[in-house]
Amino acid sequence: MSAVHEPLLASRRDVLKSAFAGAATAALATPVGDASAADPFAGATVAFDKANQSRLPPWAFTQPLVVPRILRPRAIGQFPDIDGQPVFLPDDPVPVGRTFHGIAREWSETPAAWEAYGCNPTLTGAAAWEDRQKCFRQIPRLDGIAAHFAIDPQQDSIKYLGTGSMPNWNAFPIKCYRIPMVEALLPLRPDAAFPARVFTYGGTAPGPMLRMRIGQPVVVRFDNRLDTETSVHFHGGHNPSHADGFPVFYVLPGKQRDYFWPNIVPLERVPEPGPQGPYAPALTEAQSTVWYHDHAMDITAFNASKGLSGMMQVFSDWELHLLRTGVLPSVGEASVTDPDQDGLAAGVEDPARPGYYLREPGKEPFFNPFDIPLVLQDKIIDRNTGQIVYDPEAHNGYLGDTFFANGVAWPVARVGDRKYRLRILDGANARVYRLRILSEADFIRSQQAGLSADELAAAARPFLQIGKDSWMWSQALERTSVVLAMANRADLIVDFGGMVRDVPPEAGPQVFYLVNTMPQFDGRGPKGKLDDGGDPRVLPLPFDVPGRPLVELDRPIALVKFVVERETAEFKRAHPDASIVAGKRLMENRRRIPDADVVAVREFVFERGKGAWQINGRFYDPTIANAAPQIASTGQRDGRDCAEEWVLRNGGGGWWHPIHIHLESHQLVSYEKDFPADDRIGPVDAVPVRPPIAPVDVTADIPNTELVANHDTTILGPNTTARIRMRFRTWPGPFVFHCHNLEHEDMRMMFNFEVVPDPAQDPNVAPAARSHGNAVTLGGRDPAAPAGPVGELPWEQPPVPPTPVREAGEFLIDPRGPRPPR
Amino acid sequence: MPPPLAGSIPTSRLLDRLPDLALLNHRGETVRLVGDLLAGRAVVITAMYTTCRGSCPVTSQRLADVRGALWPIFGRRLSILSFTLEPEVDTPEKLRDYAAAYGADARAENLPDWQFLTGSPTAIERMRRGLGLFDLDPAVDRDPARHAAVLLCGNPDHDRWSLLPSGLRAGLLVEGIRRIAGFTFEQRYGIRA
Ligand SMILES: [Cu+2]
Repeated sequence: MSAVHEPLLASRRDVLKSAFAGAATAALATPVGDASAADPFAGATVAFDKANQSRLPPWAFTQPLVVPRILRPRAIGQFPDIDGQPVFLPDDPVPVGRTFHGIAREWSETPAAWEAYGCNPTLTGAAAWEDRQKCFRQIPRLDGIAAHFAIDPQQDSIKYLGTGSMPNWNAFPIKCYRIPMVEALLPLRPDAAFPARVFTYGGTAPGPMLRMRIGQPVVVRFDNRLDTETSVHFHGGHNPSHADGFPVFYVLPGKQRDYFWPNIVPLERVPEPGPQGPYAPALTEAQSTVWYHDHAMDITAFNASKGLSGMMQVFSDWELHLLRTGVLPSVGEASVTDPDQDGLAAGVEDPARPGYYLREPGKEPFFNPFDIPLVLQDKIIDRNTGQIVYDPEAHNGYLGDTFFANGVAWPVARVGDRKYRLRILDGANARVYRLRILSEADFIRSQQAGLSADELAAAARPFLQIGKDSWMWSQALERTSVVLAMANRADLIVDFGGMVRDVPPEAGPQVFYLVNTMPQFDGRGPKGKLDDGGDPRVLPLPFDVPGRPLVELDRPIALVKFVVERETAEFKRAHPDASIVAGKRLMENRRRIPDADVVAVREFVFERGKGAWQINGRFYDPTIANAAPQIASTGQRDGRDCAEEWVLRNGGGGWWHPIHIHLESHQLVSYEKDFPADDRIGPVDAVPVRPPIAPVDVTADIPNTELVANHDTTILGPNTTARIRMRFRTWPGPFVFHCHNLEHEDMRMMFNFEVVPDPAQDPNVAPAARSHGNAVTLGGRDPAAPAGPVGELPWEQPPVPPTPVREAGEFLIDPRGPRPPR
Repeated sequence: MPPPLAGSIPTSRLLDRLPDLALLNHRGETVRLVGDLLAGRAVVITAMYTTCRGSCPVTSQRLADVRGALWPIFGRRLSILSFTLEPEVDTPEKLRDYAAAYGADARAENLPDWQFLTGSPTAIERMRRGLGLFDLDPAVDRDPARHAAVLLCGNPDHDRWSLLPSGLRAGLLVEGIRRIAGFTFEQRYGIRA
C-alpha cells in the first residue's frame, strides 16, 4: 500500500495516544454551561448549543479516521468439532451450544416447519446439521469463473446459471468468535479533561468489525462484563430468534450467551420448480452491509448511546465476483480471499493486537483499503469530565453536539484519487442525516455566508448509491445527496479521482467534506428552525427525490474531511480503479411479491400516546404476540408462497419514525403522503390530523431500483403511510418490529410478531406455549412446569422473573382507544 | 456486578448535574432533591396535581397497586416521588389529603416510602426540566392537563433511568422498575447471581 492509505490503517491505539496528547495540552476543564433557571442544564457542566450545531471546535479534523479492525475467530471447525466442545479454552470452559437462549433447537435439531424444505425433523446433532445441506439447497460458487453467470445486455439482466455451487448451509466450517462486552476508557474529545467510560464490544466503540461469508455459519459468544443487561441484535440479518436480540433475551451482567448466525440465503418458491423441488435460495437477498447493536428492553437507547454498536460485512460469491472483476473498488485477489476460510491459518494475527488480523493483503479477510465503513453518531460529551451525557431531554430522541465517525470526533481521512466504497451507517439514536459531499471552497462558502438549498444542490458533488440497508441494489444510481434515517445504511461509491480530475496536480492535495444538511434540533425530526415545534414541511418526503422542495441547513454540519492525494502511476497500475459507473447493472432485481401470495394484511399506526409511544394504541408487552404470521414454507396455497402486506401509518404529530422489522427484508409497495395535513400541523402545536385530508401516492417519486430493493428500515415521515410486503421464512419464534428512534423504542413503540409454523396456532391462546424461546426449544412444552411460566426455560438462568400464565393471559388484544372502565 | 473502575475518572450522571433543590413534602418536611431524595436510593418519579381529572388518578392508583409488590424487593431503598405541576395551588396539606386517598399520607411499615412534593414554582420547574419531564411542544408543556402518564424509574447512583408508561399492567411495571432501579443482581433480575 502507498503512504496515502496508511492513515486509514492506523490502529486505534495510535489514535488514543494522539488524542491524549491533545487533551493534556488543552486548557483543562474550562466550565461551560449557563446557570440560568430556565436552562435544564443549569449548574451542569455541559452545554448543547443547538442553534449552532455546525460550529466546529478548533481541533476538528485533526484526528485520523479509524477503520474498525477485523476480529479473528477463536476456533473454526465442522459441527462435531464445535458442538459441546469448550473451544474457548483456556479462559472459558463453557462448551459451545450450552449457553444459547433457551436450548436453541435450530442449532442441533430441526424445526418442524423445515419439512417443507425436505428436512427430516427426527434427525438430531451432526446428522441434522448435515441434512440441512440438502434442504437449504445450493448457492453459486464463483471461484473466478464468470461463466456461472449469464449477463444479458438486451434484457438488462443477470442470471445465475448455478453450474458451480456450494451448500447454502455449511459451505464452510463454523467460525467461533468471542466478544466481551466491557467498559473501556476512550477519549472522545481532545478538549475534554478525561477519557469517557464507554460501553464497548471488545474494548472499542464502534465494536470490532466481523467479516463473514454467505454459507459460513458463525457462533459469537457475548460475555457481559457491564453493569447493564444487554441483548445483541444482528441488524439486517436473517437469524434464529434466540440470536436476533429479542429484547428480553438478555445477556445479564456476569453472564454469557452464544449467538448463532447461520449466514444462509433464505429460500423462496420459484415459478418453475427445478430438480431440487419448489424452493430455491433467494440470491438477491444475500446480505452485504449489516451491523450489530444492543436491544435490551427499556434501556437500548442508553446502552447504545454509551457505545454498544458495531459494523459487520457479509460477502456473497456474487459480490466477491464484482470485487474480483474490479467492478467494485478492490485490490483484486486479496479483497476476495479469507485466509481463515477453512481453518485457522498461521501468521495472520496481529501480534500487537491479539485477536485481530494484521491489516495486510492476504492476512486480513477480504482486505480492502478502498472500502471504508463509516458509522455516524452524535453524542453529548461533558467537557469537564469527558463523559457521555445522556441528557434529560433524551426521551424524545437523543441528539448530540459532538459528531463521530467510527468513534472519532470529526475525523480526517486521507484517500487516493480513485473510487472508494463508503458504507455509511446512521448509528445515531435519533438523528436523521442528509448527506452531501462539498468541496473545501464550497464548504467554506457555506460556513461564511450560508448556502440556500438550491446552492447546496448545485455545489454538491455527485456520487453513486449501490445499495441500501443490508442489500446491494440492482444498479448504481447517481445522487447528490442521500437521506439516512436511524439504522439505515447507504452503500456509496465516491469517485475522489473524478473530483480532482480537473485540478492540476501542482495544486496539491484537495479537500472535500462529507456534510449533514438536515436541520434537526430535537428528537421529533427535521425542522426548519430551533424554535419551531416541528415542521413536517421541512422534508416533505423522507427520500432523496429531486423536484420536491425541502429545507436544508444553510450552514451544513461537517462530519468527515477527506484529503485527496495523488497516487503514483505505479500504484495505479498495480491497483486499477474500479470500473463501476452510473447505471451499471449489479444484480438481478428482487422478484416482486405478487398479490396472490398475500394471505394477511395488517395495519400498524405509530403515534405518541399518554406521553410515551404506542402502536395501535398499545404499549409494548414482551409477553404477548401482536401478530402471528405463518412461516412461509407452510403457507403454500395452490403452490404459492405466503406473504403479508403491512400498512405502516404515521399517526401524526410531526414526529418521524423509522420502522425496523426484524428477521426479514421488506419490499416497498407504495408510499403515501398527506401534504395538506402538513400545513395543518402548525409550527407549534403538533396534533395529529384525522382523518387524512388528501393523501397523495408518491410511490412514483421513488426510483424503481430503490423501491423493489430490500429494506429493513423504512422511515415514516409525518403524515405518511408505507405499504410493505414480506415473507416470514426459516425461523419460528418471537421477533420484534419497532421505531428505530431508540428512545421511542424504549418507550414502548415496539410490537412482537411470532412466526408460527402452524397456521392454526394462535400464540396468544396459550401463552405458555409461546414466547421467549420456548417455541423454538421444546415446542412450547416445559416438562418441569406443565402449567408453564411464560419466559425462558429455567435451564440455566431465567432472564426475567417468570410471569404467571394467568397474568400474561390478561389484556391480550385490547380494543383501540381507551379501555372501558372495569 | 463487575468491580467499578478506578475512581480517578469523574462521572457525569444525571445525579451529578441536578441542583440540590429544597422541596417540601406532604408531611411538611423540607427535603433536598439530591441529598435526601435521590442519592443512594432507587426511585420512581411522576408528575401530578391534586385537581387532575385526567391521567393522575390512574397513575397514582397504579403506583398504589404496585407499592406492595416493590417492598419485598427493595425495602426502604426505594422511594416513590410524586411532584406537583401546580406548586402555587398544591400545598403540603392538599398533598396530604390527596396522599390519603392512596393510603400514602403516613409512613407505612411494610410499604416503600411515597412522598408528594411541592416547592417554589422555580424549584419545581427546575426539577421538572432537569429530570426531563417536559413536553417538546410548548403548548402541551404549558397545560398541566396534558402531561405525560409516565413513570421515571431509575437508580441515580448507577445512572440507570427509564421512562415507563404508567398504563403498563402491574406485572410489567414491577419487572421494569426492579430491573432498571435495582442495586443488586437479585433486586434487578429476581435471580441469585
Ligand atoms: Cu419513533
